[in-house]
Amino acid sequence: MTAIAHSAVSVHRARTLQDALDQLSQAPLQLLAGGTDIMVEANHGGLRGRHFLDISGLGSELGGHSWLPDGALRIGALCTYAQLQADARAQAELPMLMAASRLVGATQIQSRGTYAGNVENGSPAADAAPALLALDAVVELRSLAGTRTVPLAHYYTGYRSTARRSDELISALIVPKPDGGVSCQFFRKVGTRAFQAITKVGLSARIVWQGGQITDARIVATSMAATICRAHHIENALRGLSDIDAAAKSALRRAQDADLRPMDDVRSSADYRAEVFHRLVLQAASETRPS
Amino acid sequence: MPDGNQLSKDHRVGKSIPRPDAKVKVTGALHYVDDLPFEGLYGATVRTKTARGRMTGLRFKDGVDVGVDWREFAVVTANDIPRTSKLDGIDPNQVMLIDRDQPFLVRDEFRHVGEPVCLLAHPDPEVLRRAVDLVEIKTESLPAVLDYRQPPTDAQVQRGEPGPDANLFKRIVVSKGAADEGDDAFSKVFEDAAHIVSGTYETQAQEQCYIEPNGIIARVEVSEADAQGALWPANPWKLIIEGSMQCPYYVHKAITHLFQLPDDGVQIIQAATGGGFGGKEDYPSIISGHAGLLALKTRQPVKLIYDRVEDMAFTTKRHPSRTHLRAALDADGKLLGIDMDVTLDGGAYLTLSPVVLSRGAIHAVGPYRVPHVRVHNRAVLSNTPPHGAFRGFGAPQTVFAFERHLDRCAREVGIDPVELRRRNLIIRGDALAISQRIDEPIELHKWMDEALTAGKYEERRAAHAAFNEAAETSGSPLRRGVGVATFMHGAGFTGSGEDYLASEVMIRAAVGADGLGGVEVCTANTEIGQGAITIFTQIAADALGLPLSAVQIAKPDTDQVPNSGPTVASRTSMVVGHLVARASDDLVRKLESQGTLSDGDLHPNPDDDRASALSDARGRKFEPTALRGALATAAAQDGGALEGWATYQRPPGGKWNDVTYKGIAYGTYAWATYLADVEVDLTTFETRITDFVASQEIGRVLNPLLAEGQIQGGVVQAMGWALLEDTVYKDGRITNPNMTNYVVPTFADVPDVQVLFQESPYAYGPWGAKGIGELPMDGPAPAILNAISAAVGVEIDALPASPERVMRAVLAAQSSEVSS
Ligand SMILES: Cc1cc2nc3c(=O)[nH]c(=O)nc-3n(C[C@H](O)[C@H](O)[C@H](O)COP(=O)(O)OP(=O)(O)OC[C@H]3O[C@@H](n4cnc5c(N)ncnc54)[C@H](O)[C@@H]3O)c2cc1C
Repeated sequence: MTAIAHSAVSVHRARTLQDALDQLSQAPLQLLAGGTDIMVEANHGGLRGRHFLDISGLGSELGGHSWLPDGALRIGALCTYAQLQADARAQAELPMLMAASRLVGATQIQSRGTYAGNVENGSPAADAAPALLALDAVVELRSLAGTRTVPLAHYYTGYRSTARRSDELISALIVPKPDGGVSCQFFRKVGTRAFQAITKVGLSARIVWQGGQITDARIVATSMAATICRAHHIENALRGLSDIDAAAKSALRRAQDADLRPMDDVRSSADYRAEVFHRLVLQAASETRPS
Repeated sequence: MPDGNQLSKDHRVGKSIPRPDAKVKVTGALHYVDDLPFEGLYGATVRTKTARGRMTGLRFKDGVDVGVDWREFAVVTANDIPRTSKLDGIDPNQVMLIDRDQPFLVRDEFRHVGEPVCLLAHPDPEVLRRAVDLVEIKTESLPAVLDYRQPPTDAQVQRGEPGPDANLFKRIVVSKGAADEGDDAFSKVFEDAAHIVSGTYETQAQEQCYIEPNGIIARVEVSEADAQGALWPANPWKLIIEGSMQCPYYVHKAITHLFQLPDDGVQIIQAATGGGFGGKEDYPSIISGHAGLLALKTRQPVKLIYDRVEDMAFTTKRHPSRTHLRAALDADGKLLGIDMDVTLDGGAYLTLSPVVLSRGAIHAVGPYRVPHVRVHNRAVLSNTPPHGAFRGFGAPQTVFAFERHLDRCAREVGIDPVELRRRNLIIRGDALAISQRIDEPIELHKWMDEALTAGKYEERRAAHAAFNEAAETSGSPLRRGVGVATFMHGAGFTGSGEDYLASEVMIRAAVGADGLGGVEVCTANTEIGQGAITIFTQIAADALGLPLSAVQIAKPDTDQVPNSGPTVASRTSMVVGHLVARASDDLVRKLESQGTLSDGDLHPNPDDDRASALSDARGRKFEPTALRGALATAAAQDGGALEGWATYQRPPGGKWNDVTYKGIAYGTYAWATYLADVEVDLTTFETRITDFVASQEIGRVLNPLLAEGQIQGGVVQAMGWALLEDTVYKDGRITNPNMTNYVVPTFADVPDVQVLFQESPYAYGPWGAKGIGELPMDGPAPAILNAISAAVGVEIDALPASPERVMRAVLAAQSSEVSS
């Protein structure tokens, strides 16, 4: 029927990483990994006229994860949530990333979805990407021209747009060994329900306490702006604090208002997001404090 | 009818017999409408995009670049439907329900986003979908009612005259005691009271979220002479509709009217149906009309299936409501007077709103003894898709308001909410607000106590008080609370409704798969997941003393089965099940009177239960082999198989008065106490339901597993309504018509639901059974919000109790504390 030509979706399968890079260099193909973001669009004819490069078969080159000599974690482009969660060292050293992974969709999604896909998809409501950002993760990009790295902190250039060139793919995400041990890590997702939920507001934080005061902080906000983002004013306001008293609370709230202007949408409201994010920051500060 | 309601160990009633339809459902072998073998065209619906206006024209935009060639399409608009029916002279383009205000297709004025304007058919569903977007509807806009709570401006009036009755679908007043004597007498009740407690409660629209979206296949049979040519055949023709539905005879009524066909010109067949919950009560009539029009236009089968978004956006939902409540109590917390004002949002057309309003009105004051009552109920128009039937049918809205209000009253009086209920619950011989005296042997106090014991109410209250106090001191954000709701639900149609329905059931002698005699049970009641097939099988098997395998349940098909009424109102097991038992009895009497079965076939040892469970009015039991032999003979007899029939008869006792709104509203009620235990996190204002107990008296548990499933399913559906589910509208358009943003609970959101049953058999239900389908929808929301309110110390009065809503209530209370 006439329909076929107009609804055409093409999917090219990459045989090797080299093949994938070759194909990417020739035409702007959209990468397909676990497909858990992409397939949602298929529901309403959203894939019509799009051209994909399926890299899901490149497990031997892009799959898995490894621990580097300096203690950093290298997450391959095809590494799934389920795979990393099965690693005892990841559980021990990166509890915030594991907490985020446990809350992505539910079991089926975690078996198929990848960290790289989550990062590249660029949703402001993503769960793994903000944890990675709070861990100072770096994005490794490959193309025929070679390999380059971009800190995740500089990766997002706007709503669902990234620093990746169309001839590049994410080959890995690198998570440096976090300072301050595990007790400074905090992750909390406030979703629309317990599982299979989109984040209404979320905080991924690393708050380092030393000698009774906060010496360093990473505060990453989810669903509070057009991209996941670091809240630098809050980070600054936290640094040097030894007591979260009333004055500190209002300073943190003022800093938050300088960093983040959340919006009303179909899932939640600006007032809720602002109030709860503030409470999450206070919770993070108190829970990371050594007792 | 089996006497005495006694069950022996050999009865199948009272046991969790496996569902006859389980295997095909679990294995996927069963065909739902979209799975049926089909060759024909696909249909689609073009809909209005704004809330109210007048249609001035249609434009079919060029679609060559997206593969749409309009010459390949069949197009139907209101212009294809004549303006007067050749049968009765009225406009066929009206959906026959309580009123006729809703068109199948917009002719001129339209009243909601998504109103069907034009129908398209094409062989390729993908091309079809693209074509829908290419039809431009030219309109002039008219002022729309976007908030049913506001009185309409003159320009917004679409029904009745400007004034107090503007846009009114229906008004109902329930009145009792001093309210019957007039305003002065009623006011005096409040003047003299020790406490007057006021509150306002709101509930939101809820989507039924059946797993299978709506869908219909239509086929026409026309004479050779009409195979081509005019749209409307000149000679007799037949329209066959098959699809997902609860009520084949509702569809039949609507379709005969639209197509101006005699009763036997329309055949409605229920396909396997993946859930309904009220959402497939009336809406399938509209889809059937649309599919039928396209089938008639093309003379080909047409399949019209909604996808999830279309189904969620444009089909019916639970009526939103607002209730103002004022209670007068004496110093001890005894209720003296209730003054209640209920408004339901009917949406754009009347549909079922009057009967939803009626059920809400009758259940409003619950199982409580209140001497003076006025409940003023209104259903009003707004420019959203019509709200319709949904499990509970008006009762969840009023029960929510009333049960929430009792907790507020208890705090005002200074007693425990449970104690307040205890002091006001009816006992046998007391009258409800509608002046129906309850003469059945109820023991509401005892049943409530059993629920409270199972839910450890006292222990929890004490533990939570200590926990919350400690949390306050330590700065922990967690708060705990327990809440209760006590309520009832009347099964069957309201008032004289069952009399008007005059349901009929037929049981036919048949030969079973094993070649031996058995029966086929013919009703129009549909299996929609609730277990109707199983229950009817159990009832007929026990009524006749046959093995389960000797009982077949006929497919609901209006050419084959009598009209036993719709599958709604918790009536299938109780009302229709009773008719199944009576029709079984009739069949045996006929076997006897025609001599196929004789005294010689009587069981030699009638006290042996295994002989046959059948014990008719004369206490006769037959020898099983003889009975099956007689049935086999009767199945093959000349002139067609022998049939047993039963027609509904109103139980003896009083009547219902539709004018005074007093009398016997329902033959019986199921009674319940539900308990919810919650934990609220004041960091995020999220509520977790930590425990739930659902305890109810239901006459007789016909099938324990199914009954427990009904209760748990209903409770979980109500938990969604209480905490998560919300329909978000912008300019009359729903903005979250998908499962991503319309959030229903998953298993991770709900606790185990502990289910308890008490049984006090009802004389006019099969083996004493009462209806239970809707009951579990009524109680959870108030129990949960009572628990949240207890936990956070702030009254939460609107649904859903989302974190956003709880946050606003808590922060508002804190800031008013600071300022006062
Ligand atoms: C039911 C359901 C629930 C979900 N729940 C959550 C949730 O709770 N939290 C959450 O964060 N997400 C959720 N998601 C979204 C999704 O599962 C995640 O974002 C997942 O990590 C995406 O990974 P993927 O491999 O499936 O990506 P894909 O769908 O294959 O791709 C996603 C995007 O990334 C690009 N991409 C993929 N791999 C690469 C690469 N190596 N280099 C460059 N670009 C690449 C693709 O082109 C595409 O744009 C959910 C999805 C579904 C369907």
